[in-house]
Amino acid sequence: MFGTVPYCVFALLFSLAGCTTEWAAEGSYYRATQTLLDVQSTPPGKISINGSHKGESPLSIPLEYEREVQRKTRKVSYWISQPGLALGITLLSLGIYLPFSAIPVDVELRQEPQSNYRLNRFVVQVQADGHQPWEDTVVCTGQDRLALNPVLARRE
Amino acid sequence: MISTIKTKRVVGAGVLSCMVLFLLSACGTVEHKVNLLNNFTPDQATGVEVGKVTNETGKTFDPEVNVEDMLRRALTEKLTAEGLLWSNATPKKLVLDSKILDYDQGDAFKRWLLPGWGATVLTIQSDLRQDGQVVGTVDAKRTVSAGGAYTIGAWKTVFDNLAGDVVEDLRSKIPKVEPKQ
Repeated sequence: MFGTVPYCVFALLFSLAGCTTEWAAEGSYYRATQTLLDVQSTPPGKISINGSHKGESPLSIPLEYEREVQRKTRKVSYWISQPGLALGITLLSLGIYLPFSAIPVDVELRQEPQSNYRLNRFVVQVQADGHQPWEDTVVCTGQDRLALNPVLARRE
Repeated sequence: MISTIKTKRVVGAGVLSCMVLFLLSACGTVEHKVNLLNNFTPDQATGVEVGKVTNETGKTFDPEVNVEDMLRRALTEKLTAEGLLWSNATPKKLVLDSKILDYDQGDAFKRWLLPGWGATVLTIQSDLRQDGQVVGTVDAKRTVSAGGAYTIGAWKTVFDNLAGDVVEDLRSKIPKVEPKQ
């Protein structure tokens, strides 16, 4: 008779673990993100980003911009969010909590980065004596690093 | 006969302990982490200033529930208690800009009636800046999803508890200045 009890308990635990609601979108927000820009010009020169002087090349500088993050939530049972607590309450209540533990009481949050960015365009300028100024626009889209190796033309 | 009485006692004790647990405990989730970017290591004498706090929930709350102000005040109190609040005497400053991503006031009576119903939820995301540059991020979330009378006022205390989590994380990254002997 008792041989089937452990199987029933496991079956019940598995079914309880599945007590969740669907993920629901809860809006989005923009989160600060960074890409490290390495500039190594030939010859070395002064580097400006968006018109602001940043230093002399070679230079590594973090570019800061924003990435959209989608928030999603769902309701889950404690067996998913806090299995230790669920087990503890079940044991303390001598198993009486078990049928109630199926209720999806807790809120689980998921943050999904999107491919939308803002303030992610940077105008990089390099100036060196006796050379034509060099300029390029960098668009950051979540890369860890970006490298620029500009070669400045001599002035006629 | 005796075994029936024993069984009834065991079941009774189980029901009672279950009820006491539900009445007294505030069950919910606590999640918090700090992430310092590019191996940034704060100096020992670094203070933290509470910067911008914005409401990104997309919800409007009652006039007496000013979520931005409640979080700002809670963070300031916890930073002060931990000796981390920036002052003019502290040479290095980190600015903590925070976004409130989710907030639900919840309702203690609903939670008591049916766990999960009337949950109090607070989720924030913060950026740590030094000289205007992001040097770290903090994510923190607290929920009070079940419990009874003990959870009355959770809509307010959740700010203090979450601020405590954030400051605990910051303290773990900013070395404490030992008083000179």
